[in-house]
Amino acid sequence: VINPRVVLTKTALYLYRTFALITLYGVLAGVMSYLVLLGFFAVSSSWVAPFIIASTDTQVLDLTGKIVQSQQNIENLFVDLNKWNKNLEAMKDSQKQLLSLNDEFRAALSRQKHADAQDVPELYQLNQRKSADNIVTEHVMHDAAELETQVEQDLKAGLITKEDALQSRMQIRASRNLATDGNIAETMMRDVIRQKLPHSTSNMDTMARRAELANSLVELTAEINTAESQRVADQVQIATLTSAINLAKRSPLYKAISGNTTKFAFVPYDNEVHTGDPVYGCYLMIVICRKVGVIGATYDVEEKITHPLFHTDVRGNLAELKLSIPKAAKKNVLFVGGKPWLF
Amino acid sequence: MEFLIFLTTAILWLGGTLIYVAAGILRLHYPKGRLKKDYSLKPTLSILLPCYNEGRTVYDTIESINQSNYPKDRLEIIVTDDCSVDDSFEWIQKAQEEHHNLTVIRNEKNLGKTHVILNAMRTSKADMVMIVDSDTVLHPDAIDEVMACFTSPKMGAVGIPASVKNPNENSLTAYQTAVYYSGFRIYRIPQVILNQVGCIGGYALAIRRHVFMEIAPKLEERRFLGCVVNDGEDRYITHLTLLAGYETYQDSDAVCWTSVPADHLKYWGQQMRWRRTFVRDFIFTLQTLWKHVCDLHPSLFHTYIVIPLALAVAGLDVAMVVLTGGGVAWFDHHRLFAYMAVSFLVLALARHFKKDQDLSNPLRVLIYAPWWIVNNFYLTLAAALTLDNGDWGNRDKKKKETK
Repeated sequence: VINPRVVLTKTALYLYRTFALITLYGVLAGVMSYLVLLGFFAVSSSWVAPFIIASTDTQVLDLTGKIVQSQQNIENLFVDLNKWNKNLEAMKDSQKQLLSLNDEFRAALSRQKHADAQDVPELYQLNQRKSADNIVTEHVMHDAAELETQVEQDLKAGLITKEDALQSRMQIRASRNLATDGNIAETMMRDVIRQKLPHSTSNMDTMARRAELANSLVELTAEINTAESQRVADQVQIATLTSAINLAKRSPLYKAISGNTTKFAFVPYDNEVHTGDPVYGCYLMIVICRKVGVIGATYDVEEKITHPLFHTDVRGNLAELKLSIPKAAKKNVLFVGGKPWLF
Repeated sequence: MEFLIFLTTAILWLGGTLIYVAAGILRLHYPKGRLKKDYSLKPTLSILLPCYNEGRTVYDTIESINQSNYPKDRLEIIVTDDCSVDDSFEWIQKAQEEHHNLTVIRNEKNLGKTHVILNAMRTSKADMVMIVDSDTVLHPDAIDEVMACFTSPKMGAVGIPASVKNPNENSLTAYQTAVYYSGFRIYRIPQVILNQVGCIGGYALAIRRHVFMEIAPKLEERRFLGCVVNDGEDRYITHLTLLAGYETYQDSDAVCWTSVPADHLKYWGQQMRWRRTFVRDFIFTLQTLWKHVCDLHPSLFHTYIVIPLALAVAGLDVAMVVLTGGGVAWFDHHRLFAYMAVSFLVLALARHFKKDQDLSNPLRVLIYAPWWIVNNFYLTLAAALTLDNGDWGNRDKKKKETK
């Protein structure tokens, strides 16, 4: 007689043992595989970590933004540079004219000083003589006053006619005018002499003008220097930005911007790859492998990733992948040069 | 996932730390425990000594029992040879020739430890029985100390904290010495204070005979999917005693020594049996959860519920960390530092309080600090999936030895 309870217990025991066997050996196999993987990756020098860069990738978008920004900056800098160039040209012309004027001014001043130095003694002597003449004329004019009185007495006495008297008065008045003119001439000459002296007001005016000219020249020179410095700074900045853009254009990310290539591989520093090396992808991480493409190019750009197994930071370079089987780029690791094992 | 791992780890560490801190404080406050002992108590006692492939060791154990200061007229030893394939029986016969208080039973076929104990218990007529492993060495005063604890009729079972016989044999035994110390001398203190010790080791377990008779049917009926269960009888006996309404106690004045495995294969086997015991006990706890809630002190929940659950979650954590590929990165210097700090703490306590367990080179213990990962990740799972195994553990494959 079959006891259903016994059958049920035996079935449960059979299922339990089967499940236990599968689970325990599964876990054991998993642990062993994991240990093998740890050992393999500790010594492997052929693994690379593929990744796909899409044009919508944040890094790519970031780079695109930076390149556009840099190009805009370069254009702005070129506009500034042209402005500085034109300003510099104008300022240098102005500087040249001012320098020329300054030279002429100096020469004229020198000539004037020389002439003044010669003229002043002569004028001084002439003024002395004129002064002496004017003194003599004053004495004569004193006598002329007596003569005029005499003419009036003679006219009243009828000794002379009115016409003679008028003629005499006119002659006396003309003499007085001449004497006044002589005094004026003497005063003017004295003023002329004073103007020709070194500390005269006219000389001071001339010196002030010259100082203004010199000041203008200094200011202009300073402006020219500033403009030249700015121009050099702009040129350096343009060169730096251009170099950075050129560098960025050589990076793999730029290729993703242009959409030419979007599949790359991280190559740890310990591993070495060359353009044209075959690339293998495996079904079970490191076994059952096939060729999936070649290395398209290598980039001397440092990258840092998290190790696919050890989860530690790893430094290395980037390589471009030319994959005949594009979906291989989605694997965690690929191998360069050959299959990691013989199959 | 990272957060879950962090949370579980934090709860485990915090819970464990709190238990150990509380235990440390209680230990300082009650260095001798709270139980008032009565040394006039000298009940009749049967030592139940199951033996399977122990060789000469069983003879040494019998010798150590007979050197006890306990009155010889009140002490008998019932040795059962469970069909050993080595020279154990010859050693038992030698001991029988030398001592008259020895009753020897020899099984014609291997029955397993649980049934050996039950049969021996039925042979006994004493008031008390004490299960002693055949590789345990008792201090001459150990039996007196243990019997003096049965002052109350409520006291059902009393155990002895184990000292390691071979602490400095190698790094593995040094590590186990530290583990034994932390388990017996620190972790169990709160249970000792409450007279509710969750597990009394089967290497030296004294129990009232009538209590043992009361729980014996349940022990005998123990099966897993129809397979006989032979491991973990000590934990099960303690558990049943508590659920029957009796108290359990561990007497820190009593001393005994037991050898710990010195090679990895034996250690693995022992740990596997212990883990199976753990899993079985957890299942039993869940089956009788309401009785636990009603009858036992809440502190035992830590032993019977929290630890198994925490270990299961910790095992899952480890599995998830490995499966998600963070296996190596997870063992960073912070965790290594934590392992080292805890190990040093246990060692420092061990060296301070237990001079006879002094380790010649304590740093060796650190080699096994990450053992808990294996324990939780694989051993617990393996134990849970081999509950149908009913062997004698380390002694099964021992070859026959010549005298």
